[in-house]
Amino acid sequence: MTEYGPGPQERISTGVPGLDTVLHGGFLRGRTYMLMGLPGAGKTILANQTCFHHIRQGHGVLYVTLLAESHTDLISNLEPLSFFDASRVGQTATYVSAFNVLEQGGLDALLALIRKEIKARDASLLVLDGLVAAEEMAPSPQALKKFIHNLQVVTGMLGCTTLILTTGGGKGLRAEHTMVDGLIVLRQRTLGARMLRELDVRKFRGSAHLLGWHSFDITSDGLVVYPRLESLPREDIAYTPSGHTRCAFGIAGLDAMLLGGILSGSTTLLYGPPGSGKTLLGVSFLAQGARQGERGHHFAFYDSPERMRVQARGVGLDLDPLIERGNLGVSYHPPLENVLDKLGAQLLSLIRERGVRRLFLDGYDGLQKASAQRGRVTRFLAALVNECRQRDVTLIYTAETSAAFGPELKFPLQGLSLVAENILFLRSVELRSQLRRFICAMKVRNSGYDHSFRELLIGEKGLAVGDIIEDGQQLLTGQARVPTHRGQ
Amino acid sequence: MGPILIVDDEFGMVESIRDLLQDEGYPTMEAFDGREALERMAVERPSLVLADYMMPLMNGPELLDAMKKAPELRDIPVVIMSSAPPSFWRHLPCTAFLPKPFRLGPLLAVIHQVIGAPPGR
Repeated sequence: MTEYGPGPQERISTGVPGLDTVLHGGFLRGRTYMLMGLPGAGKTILANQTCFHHIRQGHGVLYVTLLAESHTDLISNLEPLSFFDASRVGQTATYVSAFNVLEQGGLDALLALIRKEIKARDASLLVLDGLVAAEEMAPSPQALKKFIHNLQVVTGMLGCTTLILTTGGGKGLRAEHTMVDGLIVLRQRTLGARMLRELDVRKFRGSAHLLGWHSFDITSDGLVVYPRLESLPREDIAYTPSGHTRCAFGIAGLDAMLLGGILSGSTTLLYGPPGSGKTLLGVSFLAQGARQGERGHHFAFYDSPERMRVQARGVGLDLDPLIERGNLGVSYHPPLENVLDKLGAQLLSLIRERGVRRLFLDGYDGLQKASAQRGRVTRFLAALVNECRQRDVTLIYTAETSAAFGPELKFPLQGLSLVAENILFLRSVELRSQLRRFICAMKVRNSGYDHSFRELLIGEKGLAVGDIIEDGQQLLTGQARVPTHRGQ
Repeated sequence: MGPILIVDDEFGMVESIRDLLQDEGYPTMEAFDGREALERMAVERPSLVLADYMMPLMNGPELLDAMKKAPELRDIPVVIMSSAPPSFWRHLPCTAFLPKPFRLGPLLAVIHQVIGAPPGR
């Protein structure tokens, strides 16, 4: 008696940044997947990118086209992309057109060609591009399903992973989609004047995967997928936060108010009107950390790195040595058409890969503009906060008040407690015919703090927090008054 | 060399194994259940039987039992294929087991071991 068993579950990496994350490691060996999307959605690029990645791992690829597009056109369209390697075409990458075989011999002949070519080329990845042609050639829908089923069994036995590309005829999901092991839908969605690229893994047998729509881009390097931050699994981290370490701002009066600083790994909202000093506070926080060897990063939507340095120098903060030493980083994301998931991928990279310990996100409004759905930003921030907490990253972000003056106080977020353990409130106040800045610790969770209203002084020698204004009243409303003294 | 008889109720399996074995040069014949397999063997004696475990009308173990009881069939080697756990089929007096899903490599290996290389090679 002899036993022959299947080996362990093997994966084929897609070579697409972010997509292996969505698929929990990539495609499964020997399975059949359908990539569905209208023309221009990115199916061909995705398939070829996976092919060339597979080739670089030392494996063979068979690319079978059924449409009339010539391989010359296909290859010339791929040449500008960095993953493309012309020297591999015809060797480990085999491109064949099976349209004549299909036209003359039908689906059975097509299946035979695929089977023989896979074995002859020792291919472990097959792309079948243009299922619509096979569909039109099939005498009945039943015949097409049988073809797909047989293809699935044969490629499974040959240990060859299959990607079937199809437009789906624009008719949505159909019966043959129930047969394949996985279904990935690529689409372009219009939002106002913007065009968003998204993909969704509708089905993925044999493995878990990240649910929902994930944004992606098509760049000169091919596809880049940005898994939704909210759907990413929590990585198991052995780290246990101390819960006692303080992170100072480097501003004496402010740190005193906060009994030494905000707690390490906590999240702080800097909330105030334009010109109230939010950005300078955040940069001071990063600079203080950088001086102590804690890597900081300024994730900015408003100020370019150069403007930030000039602004900081204006208040006596010299950031250049910190930047040169690598303890302070800046990334500028102009408030144009940002994609929220791309920002999420970048933030996650800072935290997980670059070892950032102090993160300053300036600010919430930039995230809101990047989001296609209004309610997503809070969940996105909650996921970011959770990631920071797990890794003991201290996060500070800004949000702008809707009104510069006035008694009404409206927070931009719903469910604020989820995403802000600490709130530092900044205010511009008209007092004695002068516009003055004030700062107040409105909330500091898990810690005592001084909740006085103090003046925030911004001068050439730096930021400072002054004494309590004993005779100030109604500062919070922005319409402060001082008691009148009779006889003056 | 007599043909290899492929017995499986799944048409995809039967047709795929048939095509792959014919590519290798082995003659084949097919049946979709144990009863049909017996009918085929009455007409032509196979050199090897590849039989699935679970099939309608007559399953793999029942087919194996029937072959053991027939003098003209008892010596034909039988390979049982199944995705069931080994405890289901380990006790069977067949020549070899092929757990599903299997690749072409293991399939060819067990066939080579039992009946040797295809004719003409």
